Amino acid sequence: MKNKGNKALLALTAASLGLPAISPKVARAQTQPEGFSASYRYSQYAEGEQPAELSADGAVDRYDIEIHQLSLRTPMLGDAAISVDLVSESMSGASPWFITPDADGAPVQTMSGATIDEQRDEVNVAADIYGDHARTGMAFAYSTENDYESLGFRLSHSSYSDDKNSTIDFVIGGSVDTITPTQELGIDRVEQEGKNNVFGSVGLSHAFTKTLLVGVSGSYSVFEGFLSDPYKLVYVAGNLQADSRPSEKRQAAFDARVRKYFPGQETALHVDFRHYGDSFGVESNTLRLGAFKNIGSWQLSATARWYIQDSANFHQNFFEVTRADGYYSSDYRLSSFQALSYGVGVKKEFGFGAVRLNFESYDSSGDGGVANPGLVDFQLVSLGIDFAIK
Amino acid sequence: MLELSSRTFKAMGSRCELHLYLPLDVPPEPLIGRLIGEVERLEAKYSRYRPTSVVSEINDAAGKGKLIEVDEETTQLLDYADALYDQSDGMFDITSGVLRRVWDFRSNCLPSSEAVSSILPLIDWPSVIRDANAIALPREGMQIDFGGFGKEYAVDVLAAHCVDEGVTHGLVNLGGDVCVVGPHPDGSPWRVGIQHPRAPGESIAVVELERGAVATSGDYERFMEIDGKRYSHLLNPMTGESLQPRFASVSVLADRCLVAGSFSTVAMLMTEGAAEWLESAGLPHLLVSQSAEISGSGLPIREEGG
Repeated sequence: MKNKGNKALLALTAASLGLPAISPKVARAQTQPEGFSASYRYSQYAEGEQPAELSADGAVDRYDIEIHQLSLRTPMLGDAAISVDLVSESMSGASPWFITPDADGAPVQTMSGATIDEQRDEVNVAADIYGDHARTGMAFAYSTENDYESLGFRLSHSSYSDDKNSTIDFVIGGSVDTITPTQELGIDRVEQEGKNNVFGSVGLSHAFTKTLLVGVSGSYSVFEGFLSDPYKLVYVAGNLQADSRPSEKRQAAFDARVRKYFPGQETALHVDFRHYGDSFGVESNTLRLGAFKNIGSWQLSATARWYIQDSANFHQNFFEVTRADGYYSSDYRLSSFQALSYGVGVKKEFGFGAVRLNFESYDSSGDGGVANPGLVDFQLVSLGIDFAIK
Repeated sequence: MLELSSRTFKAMGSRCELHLYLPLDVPPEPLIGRLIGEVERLEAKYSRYRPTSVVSEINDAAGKGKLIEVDEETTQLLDYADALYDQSDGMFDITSGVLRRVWDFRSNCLPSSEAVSSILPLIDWPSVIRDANAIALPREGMQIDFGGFGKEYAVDVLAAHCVDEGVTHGLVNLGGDVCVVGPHPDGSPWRVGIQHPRAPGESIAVVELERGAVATSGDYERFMEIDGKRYSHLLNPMTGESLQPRFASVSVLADRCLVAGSFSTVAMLMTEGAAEWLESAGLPHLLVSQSAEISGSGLPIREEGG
């Protein structure tokens, strides 16, 4: 026999995968969950130290966040399901405050003086109704911090083709946020401000074969209100003044994703691309690659993400001259930079569900011109456990 | 609480069994009815004995230059048959069933070599004309049939239905081709008997399975003995002659019954190297020699009988 048995196994297994009645349904439309499921995840986010040479006063500590996430999901009578997600974050450390030129004209970062200790809690409640060819959902989110409150909602609808190989998704939503900055003696901050957001998106996904899924989506979002960061200052012509941004921002994003499964290798490859642009002038591209391999009840994953961003029109590390429009920011998140992150993960399935452990490391650096000294590196470790009760 | 619901029925010319553990508050009949309905659907669609089946429609149009349009499922089964032809070096050819015209295993008469030669031009899978979703047999008298893997496919279809319906403990058996959807609720494996090739109704071994499929091919389903020589229904598509198989039966274990059955059938058709071929595929298997001796590897055999 010229064909080896292992090649025959691969070829016949691949050929059998095309059979609709017995194949794993990669593009299977979302279906009502069959039982109660719960998952809990604990994560530690740690920002790298601020390099001393970029720090105005030698302070090097940055943010650490501890995150607890709990998700509960249960089917309801009829064709509905309810899910509740709770997030609790404890943040501590210092964050970039303002940038000044040093004696040589190079930018140095001053961090917020006092260590910040904050707590953020969020609750999300969502209800979904499943039909033969559609899913309709609505969700409410409420998030609170000592200086911040946010209330959001979203409506979504997915409908899929008869063969369930194509799905179209619509989402609209909005949020109303209120910020009441913590006041500090001697620092002039706004008393209370608000911002509103509405957004919408349309997505299309199609399974070209049982092992190849391609999706594209476009989204548009409008923010209006107080969009500045009340805790940041900007150096303008020798003076420090409050971070000041336009009161309206329009943003658009395009996403494309490809999922390819190789049954012989029990491996899935993901390629995701995102292009983003907004009326502040920020433009970015993101490329994400992921590989997932199943070995028995284990799954190993490796991901890499590359991000590149052009700065906002009104961002500089510091301003030697004033701007006619009066907008200034030296927030590193609005600067030109590139970031590379990689992640590895392992998941083990058990009778009750699964346990997962993930690690991600993120490094950012300037892209063109003098880098913002506040650019951040971070590491994220998370441990999760999933339960499913049928 | 789960309760075992079992049902025996006849379909595809075989004795079939369903053993499903279902929650106490779920009446078993609707699900069992749907599963039996699915077997009937496949039999009606693919049996060569049914004049209205897709296979009959294709066969009736042979040599008439007419492309017969087929649906996605049939297209994929034809693709599967194509892969089988390639992987078996042409020994598994779904156009070879036409040899039944000259080989009548109930007659106790061998066909003449002229009669066999006259059939050979009709056995020619590569000559079959295929479009994305259409097929035509180029010569009058040509036939295809899915008898070589249809039952195994049906087993996989039923097992997939069970999984879709939330069944996590159960077994599907269509005439000795078996798929285990999951172990007994206490985690213990199902004990699947392997037919003794020389003692009808007895098993030669018992395989313990928690999940996965096992399929068996043998020389015992149809045969005739003439002058002390055994002629099995396994025919060589190249020569049209009855094979003298090395093994009386081959059982193979795989994730899918379709794949298990393909390996067991091709291994039976191979005159040599079958054991090595199965070994290199990494599939657990059980070989029963003509003198009913057992060999093989990887199969969780607990008991020998017969």
